Amino acid sequence: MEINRRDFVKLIGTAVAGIAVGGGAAAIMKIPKSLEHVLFSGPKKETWKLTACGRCPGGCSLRVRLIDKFPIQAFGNPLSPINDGGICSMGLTSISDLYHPSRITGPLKKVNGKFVSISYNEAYNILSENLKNVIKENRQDDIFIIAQTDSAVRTDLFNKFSKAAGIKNLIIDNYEGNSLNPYYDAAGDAPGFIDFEKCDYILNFGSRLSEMSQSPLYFSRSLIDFREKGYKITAAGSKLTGGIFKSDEWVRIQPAQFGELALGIAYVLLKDEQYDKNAEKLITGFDSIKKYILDNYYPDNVEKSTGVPSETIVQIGRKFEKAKAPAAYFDETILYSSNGTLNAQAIIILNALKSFKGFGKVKDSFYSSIINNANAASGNAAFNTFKNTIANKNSIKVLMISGSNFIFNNTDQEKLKKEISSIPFIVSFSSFIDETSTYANLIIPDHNDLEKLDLNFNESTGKSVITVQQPVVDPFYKTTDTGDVIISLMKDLGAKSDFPYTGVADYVKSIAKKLYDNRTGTLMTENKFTEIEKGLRKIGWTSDQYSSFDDFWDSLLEAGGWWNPFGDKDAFAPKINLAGKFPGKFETIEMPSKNKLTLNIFMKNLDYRGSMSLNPVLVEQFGHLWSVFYLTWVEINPETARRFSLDDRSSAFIKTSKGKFPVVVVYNSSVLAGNLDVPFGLGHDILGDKAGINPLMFTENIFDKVSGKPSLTETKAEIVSSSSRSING
Amino acid sequence: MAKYGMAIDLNKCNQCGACVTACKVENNLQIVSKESAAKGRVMQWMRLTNLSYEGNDPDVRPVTIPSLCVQCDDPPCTKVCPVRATYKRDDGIVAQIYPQCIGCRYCMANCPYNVKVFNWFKEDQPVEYEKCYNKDVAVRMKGVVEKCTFCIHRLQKAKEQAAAEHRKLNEEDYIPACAQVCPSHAFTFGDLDDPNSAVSKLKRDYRKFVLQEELGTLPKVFYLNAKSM
Amino acid sequence: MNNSQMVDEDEVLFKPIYHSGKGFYILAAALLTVFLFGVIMYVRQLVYGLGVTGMNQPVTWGFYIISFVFFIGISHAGTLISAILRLSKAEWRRPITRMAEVITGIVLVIGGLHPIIDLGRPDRIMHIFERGRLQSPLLWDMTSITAYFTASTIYLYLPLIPDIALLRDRGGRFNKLYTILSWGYQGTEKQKHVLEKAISILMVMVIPIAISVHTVISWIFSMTLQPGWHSTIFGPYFVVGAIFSGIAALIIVMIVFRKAYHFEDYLKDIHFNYLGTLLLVMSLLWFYFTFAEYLTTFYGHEPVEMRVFLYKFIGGYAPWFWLMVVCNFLIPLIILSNSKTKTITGILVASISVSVGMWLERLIIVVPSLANPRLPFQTGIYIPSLTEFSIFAAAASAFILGFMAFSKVFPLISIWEIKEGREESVRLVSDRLNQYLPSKGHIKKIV
Repeated sequence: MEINRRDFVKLIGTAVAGIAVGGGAAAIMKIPKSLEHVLFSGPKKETWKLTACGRCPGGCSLRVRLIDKFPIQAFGNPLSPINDGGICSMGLTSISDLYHPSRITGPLKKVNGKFVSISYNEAYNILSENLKNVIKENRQDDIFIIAQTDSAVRTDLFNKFSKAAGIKNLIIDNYEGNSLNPYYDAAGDAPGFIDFEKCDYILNFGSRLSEMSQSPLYFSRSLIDFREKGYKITAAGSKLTGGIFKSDEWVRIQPAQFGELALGIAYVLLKDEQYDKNAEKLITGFDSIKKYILDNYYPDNVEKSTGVPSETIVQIGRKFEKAKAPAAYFDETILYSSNGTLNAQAIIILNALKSFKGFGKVKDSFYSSIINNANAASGNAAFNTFKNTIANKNSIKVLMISGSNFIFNNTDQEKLKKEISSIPFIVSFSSFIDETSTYANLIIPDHNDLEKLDLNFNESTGKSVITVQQPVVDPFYKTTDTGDVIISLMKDLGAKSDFPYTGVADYVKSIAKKLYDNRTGTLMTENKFTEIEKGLRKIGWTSDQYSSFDDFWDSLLEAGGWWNPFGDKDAFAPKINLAGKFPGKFETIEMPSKNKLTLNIFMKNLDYRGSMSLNPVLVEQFGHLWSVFYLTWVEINPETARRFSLDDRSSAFIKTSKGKFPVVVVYNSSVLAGNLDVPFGLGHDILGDKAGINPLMFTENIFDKVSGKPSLTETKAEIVSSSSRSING
Repeated sequence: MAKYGMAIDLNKCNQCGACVTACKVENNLQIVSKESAAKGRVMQWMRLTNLSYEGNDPDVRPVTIPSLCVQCDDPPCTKVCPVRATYKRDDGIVAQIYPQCIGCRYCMANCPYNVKVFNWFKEDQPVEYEKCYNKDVAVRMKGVVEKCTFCIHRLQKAKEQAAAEHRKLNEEDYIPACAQVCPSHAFTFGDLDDPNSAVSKLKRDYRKFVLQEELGTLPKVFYLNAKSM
Repeated sequence: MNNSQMVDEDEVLFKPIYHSGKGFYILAAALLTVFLFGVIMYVRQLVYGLGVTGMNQPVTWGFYIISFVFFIGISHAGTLISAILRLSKAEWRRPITRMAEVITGIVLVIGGLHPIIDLGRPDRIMHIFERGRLQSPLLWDMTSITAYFTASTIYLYLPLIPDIALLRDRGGRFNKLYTILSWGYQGTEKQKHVLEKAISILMVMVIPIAISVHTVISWIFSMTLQPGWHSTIFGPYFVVGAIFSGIAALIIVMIVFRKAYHFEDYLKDIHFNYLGTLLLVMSLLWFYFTFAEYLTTFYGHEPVEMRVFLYKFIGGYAPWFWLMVVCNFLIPLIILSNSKTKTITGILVASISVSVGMWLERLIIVVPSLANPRLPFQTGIYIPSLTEFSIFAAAASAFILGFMAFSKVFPLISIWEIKEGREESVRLVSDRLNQYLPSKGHIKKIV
């Protein structure tokens, strides 16, 4: 910003007034504080830097615009194969997160219930002392780590640390791990991507590919291309969101019943004998499973329990069996219901009947070669372990929380709050004093995404893509990269540690070194290749010339990433062994009906962990689709609403067994009759009463038995009009 | 002289709202307080709005459009301005001169698309955010009307850049923020006077429709939608 | 000459100028408080911005524009009625015209200020002169209001000159002011002739100007594309409404001052009876326009127009709409068409009801159209804040204060016209009558 005329006039005015009142040069020199940054800032030089967005697993490449070394805007990198120049709301506002007024500016220690500022060394010593004491007594099982990070490097660091220190209870809560865990459980392997080159039919079980997935931006484009090729998408779900919106067919069903629907479809395939004969070899105990399905999942039976017409089931079944390479897709969202993991297993079986032909894996994946334990993403304990431990014995001595705001993301929050306040030592690496970190004894705030170095691995496009998240700005405050803290701890505590690197930067560079040695693929400086070029590259021809690794490293930072467009892909066809897990017992779900309303909580697009509404721009724009601002709203079918005499935009209360909360009624004809669609994400304590309600505070304690994720769609609720005063739209 | 126009493909749009946020941060729009928002004073130049519903009962879907200033070729708002604070440029962009506006809001009353917004207050915003304001766009003072300008500052910058490089302005040099960020590439922006531009071709697409065609305002922002999706 | 020695037959008309009771000061103080509070609220609005009002995104115009239209409407009371009565040589006009003209003068100032109160940047008001666009109806409006204000002030001033001369001759306070303002008027034949000539030129001039003012105000709305506004009937509809509310305001003022200053001998039942009939006629005319306006909308049944229509008839603004119909049509009709109820009290009630009703009519024209725009994305609701109410109260008290101040300097009833009437009316009327009566029935000349 240059000094505009108003400021200039103001300045002159101040100066003149200064002379008039005080007189003398001293008054002239006194420049109003509000103008300081205008006058004493640099030459307003514009530069651009490439980095990667760290706010979701997507790893989009960002072009950050800097004025005098301060980032002011972020846009998508048009050369990135993931986002192709596009960028979502979260990425766009990543800059304002950097400037967030509520960021913690340095390590904090809780003294008498209040946080006081301390130095990093002091904080680190407190942390390592506490850990050492517990480890000395050989009570490593009393240390819990809950880490929520989509970064593979950091996940790897946590894994390495827990191994070195002998900590068993590492809970990694990330999108990729949660989505793929059912696959790992069943097959020890997981699909890498939907193979859009082969796939000709997608049956989507509640996942929002273009909203919350491994790469929402990639799927936004690829699903359009997929449909433009004439292929169909069938989506099942309880809410029509942006992701389901672009499907050809919408099957209205409660998420808890996805498994039964999948088995109903499997019934059609088995009955028609149209399944891939290979499946008999893939599935352990195929015959018993086949019998189980044929005995129990006659479409009419499925219709009885799920409400999906049997003709629809048969039609979908026929589509699925006719397709050459169909993909039945699910992701993390499937876990948020009482049958969560069981449903996932049913869908895996459905896929196995067609030999997973719609899926693929990257051949000789660089990612798998670096992060050697393929199951790294998942950690080694489930959140359920933590909940059971804390509820039963409550022997937890140390709890380390990184990036997770699990109190906000869980139902039964009061109980959790009570229980964790009895843990003697909690350390949090949060950047904000949120619902969870407020219980910490020590906070060592992490860097903002734009201040740290990281690598993002993404294979959802079918190609190995690595985007580099480089610090575009020096840290604003006295924050410390959590990765560095973990590495320090590893060195101090881990007797068995053979980790040779001094910090995250070092470690990341070592990965890049392997990339440099590997010499496949190319920097992200071009994204269109001729067939000839592709062929040449495949046989090892390369145009990239680097004098040294440092040269390569600089080029990598400048290009913002690396990818391998010439790599091949593997078919994904693992052996499925669900012995002892499947068939399990499906919980019967009461269908929403005219008189029994159901609270149907949906996650807003891009909001993986309810952290979206911490950003002032996003919290204001949270309800922009319905022009409801700063308030929690309920989308309701107009016919249902009228029966309860609720007007559009009027205020009402939703009552559940746990209490009632205020909402704004919004008519939406596409909502299922009997559903009360309430968004998740608003209601952060950090914002005071500024914005909305967290509906998870009011859901019944229904969880997926395996993963421990709370059910979002099975709470019975009532709605009552609170007054006739309507609210603006 | 170019005449800029925009096509929005509703068959591609999946309501993610990136355009809304992009507009907000690109143009330094004020973040309003909860109280102001409750009064209906949220400032958006671009918003997603539900036009209607299509489909039959088991599968009803909303038709939601990204709604911005449609940049009428015959704009009703400029006609009524008493001080020429809003006017149509030669390149077809309907612009607003903020230091000239007296804040009578007549243009808002006469805008059939309801896309102009007024600065009711100088809202309290975190001072930190002033640091990440887009330096190319003036922050509007209280009491003036503002509107979507097709990110006219980008055109200005692109022109300067082109002049510095002694070349003509290329079509890809200038694109508004909303069109640039769209993850599903639903926006097409370009010169309507050039019959070969992508946007001109889309203007001849059978799916094309404009909002309130009957008013004869000749919008330069149009939509594409094939029913029975 | 001491004014206590001077006893005029119309002494009661001079009395308010020289004597003020206790009540006067109390009322003035109260009104001044209200007015100052409004001023404070306006200053607050200047500091914080228009956000302190209840206006919002679709409803961008509110109380200020409503008050603007309303006050300008009332201003028609005056000049137009007085001019028409003068022109038609209605003898009963004599005690009425002055008050009517004063209403115009004061209310025009108040009403004319409202658009400026409504501006987001009043500091840039000079832009209108520096770079005004004549194509904008706002500019037409400004032009016509200025013209009307000029014409009507002169039209107020000219018939005031003989009275000022009378006051000057009585001596006492403000004598210098009176001396200057009376322009040396001595009541000579030549002066009288010139004055009457000037008045008759002005009264012809002022009528088209007055009509143009309200027509142009209606055009602010009808030139837009908003549903409910874009209508050709708006010009005459607004003019009729303006005269309607003007008469009501005039009656209220007359009755109040008749009571306060004991003008019973000058403002007689007959005056109110005639004005009441006029009010009834206007009420019927108003209803005719309203009916025509809404019937065409309803019959056309355009979805966009119907949204506004239904919003008024059965939606959020239905209570206000039907209250308006009651106030503007039913109450005046019932009261004024029945000779038993057509008493001064009855007429007062009817006039107050019409004033309220006409304010509501402006509300119903301005807000529902804005609240239901063509694209139904953003619908709005308008709840005025304290700022708007207090500024409206301030405007109303400014009107009363203005009137009170005027009555302390100038006579509220044209004394020379009364005197002239006493001396010449009968002769003039009988002359006139003799012109069109058959010669057999000629009235005898009295003088």
